[in-house]
Amino acid sequence: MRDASDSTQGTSSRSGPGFNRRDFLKGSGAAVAASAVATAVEETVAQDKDKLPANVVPAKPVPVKLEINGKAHTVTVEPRVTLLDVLRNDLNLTGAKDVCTTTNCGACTVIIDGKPVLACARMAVECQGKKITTVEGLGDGKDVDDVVKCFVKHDATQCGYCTPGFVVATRAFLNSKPNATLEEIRKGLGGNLCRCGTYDGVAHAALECASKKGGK
Amino acid sequence: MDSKTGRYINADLTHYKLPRIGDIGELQAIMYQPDSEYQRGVVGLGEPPVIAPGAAISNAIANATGVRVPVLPFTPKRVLDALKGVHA
Amino acid sequence: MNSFEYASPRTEEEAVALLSAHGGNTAVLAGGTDLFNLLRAGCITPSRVVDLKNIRSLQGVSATSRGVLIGALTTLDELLVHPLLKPYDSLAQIADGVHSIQIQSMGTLGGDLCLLPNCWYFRNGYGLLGMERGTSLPATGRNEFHAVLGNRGPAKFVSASRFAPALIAWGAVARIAGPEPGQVSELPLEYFFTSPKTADQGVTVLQPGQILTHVLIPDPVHDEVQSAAYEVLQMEGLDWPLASAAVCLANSAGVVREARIVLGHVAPTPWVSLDAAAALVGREIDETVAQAAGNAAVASATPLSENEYKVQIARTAVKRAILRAAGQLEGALS
Repeated sequence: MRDASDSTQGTSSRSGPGFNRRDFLKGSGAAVAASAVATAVEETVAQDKDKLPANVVPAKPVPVKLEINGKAHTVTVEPRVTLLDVLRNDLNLTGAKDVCTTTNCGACTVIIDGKPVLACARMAVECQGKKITTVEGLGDGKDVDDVVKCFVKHDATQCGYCTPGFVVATRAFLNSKPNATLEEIRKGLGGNLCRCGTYDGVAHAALECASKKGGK
Repeated sequence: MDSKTGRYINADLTHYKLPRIGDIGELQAIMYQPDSEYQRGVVGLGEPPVIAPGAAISNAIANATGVRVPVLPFTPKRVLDALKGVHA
Repeated sequence: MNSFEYASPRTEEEAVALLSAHGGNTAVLAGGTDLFNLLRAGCITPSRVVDLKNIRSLQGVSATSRGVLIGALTTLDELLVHPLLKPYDSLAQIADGVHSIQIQSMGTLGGDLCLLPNCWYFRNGYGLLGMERGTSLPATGRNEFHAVLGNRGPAKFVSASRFAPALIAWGAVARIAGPEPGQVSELPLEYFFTSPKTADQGVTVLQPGQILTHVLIPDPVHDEVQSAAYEVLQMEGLDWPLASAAVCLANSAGVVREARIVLGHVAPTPWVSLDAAAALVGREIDETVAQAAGNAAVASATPLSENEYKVQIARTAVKRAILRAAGQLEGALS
């Protein structure tokens, strides 16, 4: 989107040292956020007139407590904000990827209370009081989950965008079916998409993990 | 794309169908490296091996059904339409 | 996605009261596998989302004097392994056919039954009927995944529910709570689904403030009942069937006494085929009989410009579901 201001960028004071696209985007993001807060405040005033029942969270930013990878976090977000957005935008846990946003690709898979869940289809407010594990939680800085090791061994990644989702889905799948066969793996992991074509590597990585009784 | 409105109606991964892990069979890479090719120097390898399988599957369908399905991918609609003699 | 309130009731009565607020401009959240797609696409813009996941009475499967009661919040992976559901082969086959552990662990039975169509015109903001300036876009546009039966009305989409055909074949009953707190009604699941005639009608009988709470599968009156489902999928992974069929056969001495055949994904509602069932009664199941039932099921099909192939797929789905129920579907196909 080129406009008049763009064409003057080369010489204007706006493009001094340190000005870059990323800072610009961050700045405009803050402006949007600020306007969102302003709207929310207006709405709060309106809502206070007819008090909400105790089990209703108002449509404005509220504190949300989350337990992610064993650590407690508190973020302030609106109910409509998904767990995925909180992980990536507020908590800098960017392992879960935002790919299809239509619950089809599995790239945002996290484990909630032991079950594989698409983080793009859960609001953050829904996840309070639950144990959330993201792909970052599959390693402790010294050692990593066997699934990750098997993915490396079988070269089950190319561009890497689907990989965290596949790793978490594989971990959840092997937790429920530690001795899975190749056929069961192909069925169970059908909710994850890869456009590079690493499926063969993924299947064999999962199979090797299954041969170790699901691995750790 | 819808021809009336000009809008893409499958611009998401629900309606734009991609193969998944169950759709891909066993893959085995066989390196073909005879001396005669080596003598020519460096030989590239990239996506060209992808070309042959489409034709091979097309031939397999023709062999099994007696009709040619000329357009990839071979969706159920295209195969059944071809069997009925309808042009896809 | 618009801004909305989030409500998490603990009882059905609370849920009904919470859903009736805001003039009924509220949405029900169960597994969430589709609600967020609708919210993000702007297909729905509720003022309040009511999460049913914390209502204990909606969860789990229990045996009652009338039959097996399945809570609407029962997830697909629970359906797969629950001992009480073991006799209901067709349900397990459908749950097993959802090739995604994420959807299996999140998706709920009630959510499946209340799914809005996957019609690409609907999902792109043209409404359930896909109308623009008074003309039906699916009628004249891209309709390769649309209805081949029951499509003479304004609705051309196909019912998205995967479990409805099997449940209807089992004679299931829907239990509905609301819109008044404490109000409960029941109706056969077959009549739960509607084909909208105008833009303001929905795909089920549910009115604002009503929720589907349970599905009751009455105990069969016959001793020997066989059931099966067969879904034709374009892909092995997570995908919607092109057509599906579910059957229940009550036999005695190797002969079918009573049959129920219901097709899915071929019409705006699950499609009960009395003709196909009649083709089985009094006969022994073999491939010829199953084929005749398949033919009967699609005899009145009225395909649109691009979906004639679905007639053949629906026919085959019926035939294979019957053979599968009778244990005659060859290993290669099962």
